[in-house]
Amino acid sequence: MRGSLVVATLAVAVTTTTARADLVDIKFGGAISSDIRFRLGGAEVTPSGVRAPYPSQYRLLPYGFSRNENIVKAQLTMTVANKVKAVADVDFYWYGYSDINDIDMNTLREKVDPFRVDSYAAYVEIYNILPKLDLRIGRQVVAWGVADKFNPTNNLNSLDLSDPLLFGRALGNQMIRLDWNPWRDLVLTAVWVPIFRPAQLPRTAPVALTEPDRPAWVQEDGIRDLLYSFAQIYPPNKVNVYPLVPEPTIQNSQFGARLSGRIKSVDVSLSYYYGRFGIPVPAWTENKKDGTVDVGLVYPRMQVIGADIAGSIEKLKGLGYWIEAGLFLPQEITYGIYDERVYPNRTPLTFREDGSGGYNLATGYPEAKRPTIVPSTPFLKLTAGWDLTINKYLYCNMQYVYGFIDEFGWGKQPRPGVNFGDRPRVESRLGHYLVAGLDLKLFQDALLLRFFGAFKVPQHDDPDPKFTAVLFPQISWTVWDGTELTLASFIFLGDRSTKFGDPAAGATELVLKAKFSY
Amino acid sequence: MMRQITAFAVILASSIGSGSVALAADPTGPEVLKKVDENLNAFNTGKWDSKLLVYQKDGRAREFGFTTFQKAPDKRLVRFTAPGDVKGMGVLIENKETMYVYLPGFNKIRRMGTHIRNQTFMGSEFGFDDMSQLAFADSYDAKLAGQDDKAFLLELTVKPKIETDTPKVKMWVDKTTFCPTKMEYYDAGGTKLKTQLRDDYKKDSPKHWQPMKITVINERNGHKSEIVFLTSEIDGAIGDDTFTQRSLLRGN
Repeated sequence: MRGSLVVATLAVAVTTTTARADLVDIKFGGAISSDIRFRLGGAEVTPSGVRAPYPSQYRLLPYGFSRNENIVKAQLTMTVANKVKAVADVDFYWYGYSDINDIDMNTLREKVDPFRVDSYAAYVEIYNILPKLDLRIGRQVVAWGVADKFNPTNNLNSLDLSDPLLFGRALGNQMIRLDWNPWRDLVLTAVWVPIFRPAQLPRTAPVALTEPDRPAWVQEDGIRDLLYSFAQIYPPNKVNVYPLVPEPTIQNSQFGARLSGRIKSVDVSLSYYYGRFGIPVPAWTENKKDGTVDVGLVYPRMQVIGADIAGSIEKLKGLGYWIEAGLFLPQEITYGIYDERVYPNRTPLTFREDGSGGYNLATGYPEAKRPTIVPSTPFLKLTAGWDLTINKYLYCNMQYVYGFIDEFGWGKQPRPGVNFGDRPRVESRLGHYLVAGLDLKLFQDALLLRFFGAFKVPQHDDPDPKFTAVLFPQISWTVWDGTELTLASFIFLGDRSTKFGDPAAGATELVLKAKFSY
Repeated sequence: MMRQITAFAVILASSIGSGSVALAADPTGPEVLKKVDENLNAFNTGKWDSKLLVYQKDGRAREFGFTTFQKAPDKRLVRFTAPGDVKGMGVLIENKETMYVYLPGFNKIRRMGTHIRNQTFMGSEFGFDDMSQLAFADSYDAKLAGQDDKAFLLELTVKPKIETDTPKVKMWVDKTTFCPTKMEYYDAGGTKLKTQLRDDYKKDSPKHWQPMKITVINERNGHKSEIVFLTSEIDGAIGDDTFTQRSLLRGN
């Protein structure tokens, strides 16, 4: 009797489970890929804090393999009718380098064959939790803006700058998103991001701060010159850089809202963002008696008021166009300079104008000031572009970009000299760029020849405008359904004192990729 | 770049079906074409699961899967199911000038310019007009050029001020169903550019016939592509909210 009851209960349970399972639509997909790159020139990047450099994913040689990754991507999507959707994706990366610096490491599998895991989505979405209202909670990417890749209004997710081929792909982060769609394509989106996630910087980024001849990022020419002179007289033995990630407090959470719709045939949106810039800037430095310099970085607060439009012009053969702009209201960042050799009691160095445009070190005077890294002056970033399919073989795309994805703040950007030890060069912090691409598709779209480039437009008001560009020629062959081989190169042009020629920006690479998507 | 990746996809944002209405004896060309157009649009909503076969020179075919939702006259939503590199992508056409693409890899909906009509779909021989031509009489004048026991032969000539690469079309129309079974497309010089065949008609509603296979042959290079319709559901419950960016973003 008891046994029969158990069997009956199990039968009901199995039946019930099966019925529920039938309601769930399960989709599975992903990709397997291999990515090998060889570096041609650029600065050597070594891991800090080790006695001797060793081959690892932390190290970049001027001429050597800079990437040897194998990636397995998997995504699971489960949908319950039109009520709930749950999405989880996982990317497994095998670096392809051993990370061994002593004999103990040589015994640990995770050091001999290091790997990492990343995820862009792990969320639950509830449709119509209230009428016309969708709620999505969890790890996700919220992409705003209508421009291609250069989106001044897209600030909720920080960017992955570690790979130039990703062109600044957004990183996943935990957030809560609400979409209210009261009428047709009128959508009000609100997003709350409890904890800030910084941008993923490229391996070459530390070069911008650790090379001893780098000028300070201060705005005042006289103070910058003075600091540069100090650094030449007392060059640092070692530079340690410490990013200060914001505390996980409610005050440090991010918020954004966007209203989008269509007026006649033109898409229009307005947005607002309160949060931080994902790329850190220097905020303080401490010069120790032993010649060590500690540099502190912060992620500036900002508000961004955004607007964009996009559409199609029939009279110009259906040319697609878009304009996207963000008005940035930044937090002012001043530079706290501490020098044990001058003030052992940690009094910050301040400076006073000398009346002839220069500055003197002056502490205790009421008019003396700290140098400015990011002024509070509002600034604009803008992208305007168009694209056109000329025929079934040719497609072109062009954008004007004011303010590259890593540029933040009004004023000037000091850059290193052409050669190591040369005087620094100064240019406008926000640059003008022309970004253009051409695709040629052949053999029933199986072969794609792509030529893409970003050129910095010399600015007439810069004292020493210079040419610099990055080029991205690519050949992709779709061997069969979902199977692609890519041979490409990323070519950085310009001398060390320019944006793309700076070794901190990266170096020219050859790329070979194979990918199968399922 | 990203727009280019997806532009081809919009071409697929349509499906074609046909209805069946009787016509008087000895009809004129415009009358036959009018019936063809009426039959093509003899539904309010439709949903089709399909696969595209792009034949290679060696006879093998690359295969793409997709599902199309449509609401007359011109709202369409296409979701791609295979292969892996396009799976999850979605295309929404709200009207002739307003098209969007959802890119799952970028978590983004993109507005597309209508220039993408100049592209082919996945390297196939299907162009935008092959897929989206639902009302021939809007673009072409028709003349009855002949008939036999089974079919009318129409000669279509493009109307003034309409731009097309194929200003002349020969259309064979089944006398029973008034569905087009074969179309030959010509350039202004009279050179045949491509041939479209519509086969395996199936009646999927009281008023609607669905060709379960559409074949396009490029007459210049011999390339051939097919769309095979696996399912066809006519006048089911598909609401207006299916054809919104919100729905496109959901990706269901």
